[in-house]
Amino acid sequence: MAYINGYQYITEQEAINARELCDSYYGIPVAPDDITQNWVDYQFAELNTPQFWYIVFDESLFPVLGTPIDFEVITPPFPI
Amino acid sequence: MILSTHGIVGSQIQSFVGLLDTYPNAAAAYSVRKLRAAYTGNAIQVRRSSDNTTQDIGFTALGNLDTTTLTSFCSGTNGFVTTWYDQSGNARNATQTTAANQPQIVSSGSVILTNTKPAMTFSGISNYFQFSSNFASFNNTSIFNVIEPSTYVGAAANARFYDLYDGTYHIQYLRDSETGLLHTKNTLWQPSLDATQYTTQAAPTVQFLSSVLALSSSSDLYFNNSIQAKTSSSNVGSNGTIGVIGQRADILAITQFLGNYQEFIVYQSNQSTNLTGINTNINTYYGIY
Repeated sequence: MAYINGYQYITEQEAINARELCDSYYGIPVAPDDITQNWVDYQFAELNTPQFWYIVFDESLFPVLGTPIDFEVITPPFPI
Repeated sequence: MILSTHGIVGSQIQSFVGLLDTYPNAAAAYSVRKLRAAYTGNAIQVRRSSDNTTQDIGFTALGNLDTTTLTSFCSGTNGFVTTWYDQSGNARNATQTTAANQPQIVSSGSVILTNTKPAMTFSGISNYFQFSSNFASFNNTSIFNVIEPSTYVGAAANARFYDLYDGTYHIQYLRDSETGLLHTKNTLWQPSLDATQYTTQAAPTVQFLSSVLALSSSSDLYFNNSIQAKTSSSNVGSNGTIGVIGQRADILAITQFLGNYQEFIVYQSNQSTNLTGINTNINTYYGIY
C-alpha cells in the first residue's frame, strides 16, 4: 500500500482531460516534435478495487488542478 | 614525450581518449563526460523552466560537460534533462517525455554538482528515463553507475537505480526497504529467488560507484571496486528487454530513486577482466573513493 498525495479520477478520460489542462496551461509541447510532450502524466491504480487513475501532486499542478487529496494505491507486497 | 590523454606526441596533439575507447562495445552509455573520441553528439538535451524551450548541451575540448553553454541557456532559471544521449553508438538515448518526470540539472541558474562534477537530480517522486530502443537477448551483462542517493525515506526507501526488464525477468539494482541493503535481483516481479546483496548498507549523501556483473552463472556486486557479494544465479534476458534509469521498469509509484546520477554504462558482455580498469577510469574522473 502506498499513500499518494495527488488527484484521483474514476475514468481514464478524466485523467487525460486533466493532463491536457496542464499541457495547455504550461504551453506543452512547445513544438510538435519536442521530446517533452506532456507536463504531467497519470498512472493506473491497477490493483485497487475499483480501479482508478491518478496524478501525483507537484507544486506546478496546484494552479491548474487545485488542492490535491490523499488516497491509497495498492502495490505488490514487499519485497518487490 | 608521450602523454596518455591530452598531450603531445612528438609535434602532434594526441587526441582525446575516453573510457569507451579503452573498453569498447558498450550497449548503452550515458554520462556527464565524454566517453568516446569518435562520439560527435551531445551529452544531454535540457529544457529550461522559464519558457520550456530546449537546447542540446555538448562537451568541452577536454571532454567535460559544457557548463558554460548550460548556464547561459538556463540563466536564472531551472534546467531539466529531456534526453541523456547514448554515447555507445547504438543511438539508445534515454528520454523522458513528461516535464514533471524529467531530472533536474540546473537549479536557479546554478549547475547541480556532486563532488565538483555536474549531476542530475532525480526527485524521488516521478523522475526516470526510459531507453529509446530495447536490448537484444543476452546472458551476460555488466553495469557501471555513479550515483549519490539523497535519502532513503518515503518512496525512495525502495529505490530502483535501474531496471532491465524483458517482460518476465529483470536485472534491477535497488535498495531493500526492510534491510537497508543494496542488491540486485534477477527475478520475477515477486521474487522467490532473491538477490545478491551487499553486506553493508550504503549511506545516503555518499557518492559511490556500483559495478554489477550479472552473468549467466553468477551475480557479482562491487562497491567502489571492492567486491561485496557473489552469488550463483542466472541473469538472462530475451530479445526486447527494456531499460529504465531511476525507477522500476513498470513505473511502480513507490520505487523512485532520489538523488544524483552522473554515469550509467551497460555492456551486454562479461567485463570481469576489465572490471578494475573500468572502475579505475571512472574513479579517476569522479574522485569517488
